[in-house]
Amino acid sequence: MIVAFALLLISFGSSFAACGSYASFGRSPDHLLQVFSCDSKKCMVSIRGVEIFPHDYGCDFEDEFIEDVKKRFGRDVPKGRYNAPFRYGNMARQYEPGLIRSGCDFLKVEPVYGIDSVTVALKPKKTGVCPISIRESNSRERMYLAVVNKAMGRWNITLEHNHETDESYESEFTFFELPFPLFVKQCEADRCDFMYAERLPFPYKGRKAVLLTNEQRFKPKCNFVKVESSDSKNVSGTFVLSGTGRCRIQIDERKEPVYNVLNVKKVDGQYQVELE
Amino acid sequence: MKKLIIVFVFLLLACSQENRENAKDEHPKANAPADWIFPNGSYSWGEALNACPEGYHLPDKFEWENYIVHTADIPNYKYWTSSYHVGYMKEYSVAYVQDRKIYSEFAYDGRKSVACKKDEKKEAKSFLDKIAFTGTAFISKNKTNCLAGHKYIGFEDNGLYLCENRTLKKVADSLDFLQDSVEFSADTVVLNLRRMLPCTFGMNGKKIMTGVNRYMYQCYDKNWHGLGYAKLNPVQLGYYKDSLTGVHFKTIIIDSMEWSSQNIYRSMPGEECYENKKMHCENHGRLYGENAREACPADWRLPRRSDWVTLFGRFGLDGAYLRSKDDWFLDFKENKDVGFTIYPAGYLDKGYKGFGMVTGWWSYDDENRLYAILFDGEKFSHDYAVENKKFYIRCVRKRPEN
Repeated sequence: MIVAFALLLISFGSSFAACGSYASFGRSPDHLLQVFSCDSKKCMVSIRGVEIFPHDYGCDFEDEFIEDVKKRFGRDVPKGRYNAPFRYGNMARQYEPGLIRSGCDFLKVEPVYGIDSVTVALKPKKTGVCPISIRESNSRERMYLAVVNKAMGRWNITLEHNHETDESYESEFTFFELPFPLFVKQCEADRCDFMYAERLPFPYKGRKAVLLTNEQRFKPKCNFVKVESSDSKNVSGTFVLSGTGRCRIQIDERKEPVYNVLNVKKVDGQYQVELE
Repeated sequence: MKKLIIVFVFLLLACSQENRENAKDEHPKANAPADWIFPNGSYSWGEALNACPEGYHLPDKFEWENYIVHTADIPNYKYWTSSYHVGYMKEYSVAYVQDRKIYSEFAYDGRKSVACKKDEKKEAKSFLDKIAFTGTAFISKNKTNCLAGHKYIGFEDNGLYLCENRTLKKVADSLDFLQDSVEFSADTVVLNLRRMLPCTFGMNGKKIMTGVNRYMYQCYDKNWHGLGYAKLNPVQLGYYKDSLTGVHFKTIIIDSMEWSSQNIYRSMPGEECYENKKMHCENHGRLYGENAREACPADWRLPRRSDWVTLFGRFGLDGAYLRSKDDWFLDFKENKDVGFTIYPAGYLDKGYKGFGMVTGWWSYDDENRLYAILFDGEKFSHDYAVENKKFYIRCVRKRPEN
């Protein structure tokens, strides 16, 4: 009888999945990026797992949990830190270079190590609106707009989740919830992809902006920055660099042109482009 | 020991309850057509692609649509379908069926049921009325997770690709064509896609013409076959003037039909110019209310749904051949206006809307009800909620005998 009971318990226990979802499908994923704990110097930021619903996911056993957290979040969790049930909860991804990128020079990204629920700190220098990108996979980035304010001596950052529409898939264009200013991505050698979302004259499926992809509407006023079109519909184009310095760029919006200044530097032999 | 026995009995009861729950999962088959089977169990996406026995296949979206229409009682489970896409926003978006509807899902890591449909050869049927066709069963170039064993056409390079181990592999630079040119028929679907289209069972017998180079293909037994170049009647541009009313407009003759290639500009009660500006009327015609049906001159009429469908059959649904080259807010890469020249002239709905982005025309549906056909530069749609709205008018007539 005892043997039968033991066998029963074993079969009962092994009927669960090792790691996976503990809830049904159909919910929207939690927001990827969350800001919290702001003080006079910084705000903490967590990047949640991608394409998962953290509170519903977890593992049955600690070993699998540790392995899975490493795989999904890039984190080394020591044994004994978490107790059963082994849910991901507020786990945030471990920082790695290129994971999160600020589009402005007044909002610096600083890695935070050792706190499982925090990925980076955002350190503002002034108030304003700044595009931020999160790398979700090798081929995809998710855009946010950080609205930076200060009240009672404390910074306050609200994030507008600015993702593309479902309709973008069937469209030649990529639509966003909101327009955003020129955002230059990490350069690869002398080439830097960039994004710019222009406000639509009328909302399209509830979205108010479209990624401007006509390279002829970007006009650098210097001879060391050239613009090339891109095959990807997720970027506006590519800056091809042949020198450093400040470069004024005219962007021909439909209504009237807007102007930005690019500050092109070389750090450790690598081009960096920041907006002034 | 007594306690242990009680726990044991409790566990046995719990197990038997679980078995009863599982028993509910057996799919009712009474209403299922004989050529459909429903294997027990749940499957991951990868398992589902190869779950059906020899001679059966995982039904695609078209087959499910047909099943839903003809089968009264469909068990309310989620079923994988073989229609899916890999997109920019939804990296792994997989179609599934539940509640008599077909959905796309963000992730493909869950487990769902599987239905299998018997393989059969089908005659080609028109499915041009499915305006939402584009955007379903195709896959982006250079992506994985394709449909095992199916052949894909790359519309940009005319290459033929085979799906093996969920990855597309190029097997030929282009298809061999059966003949130089082929008569274009009404059941041909025109696709101006930059992606790849698999030959699935639901596509069996369907003819496809690429809008880019007018190559025609036909889908049989999971393989694409090259037919040839589409032989099309050239369009003719013309001009019409009604001597009685003075109404005049440019025209375009497409096969057997003649369309006004401009929006109508005729004074009638209730008509108006966009933003009440005469300039808009002169450039883009007038906006009309529901008395629109009287606006076309004698011998001409408002277009019917079937007229639009014929037009889409010739030029595709994405409008690359139909929209104007100017005035659109979005910078379209392809602008091949054949003379139909659709401007984004907006419409009126509690205010002037959509200038630069959309436009719309009065039309009749199959039951002669007045509705609006809308166009946003990339795709056409229709709208029955037309009360108190104003749209433009295109007129159409049978091509006059020469």
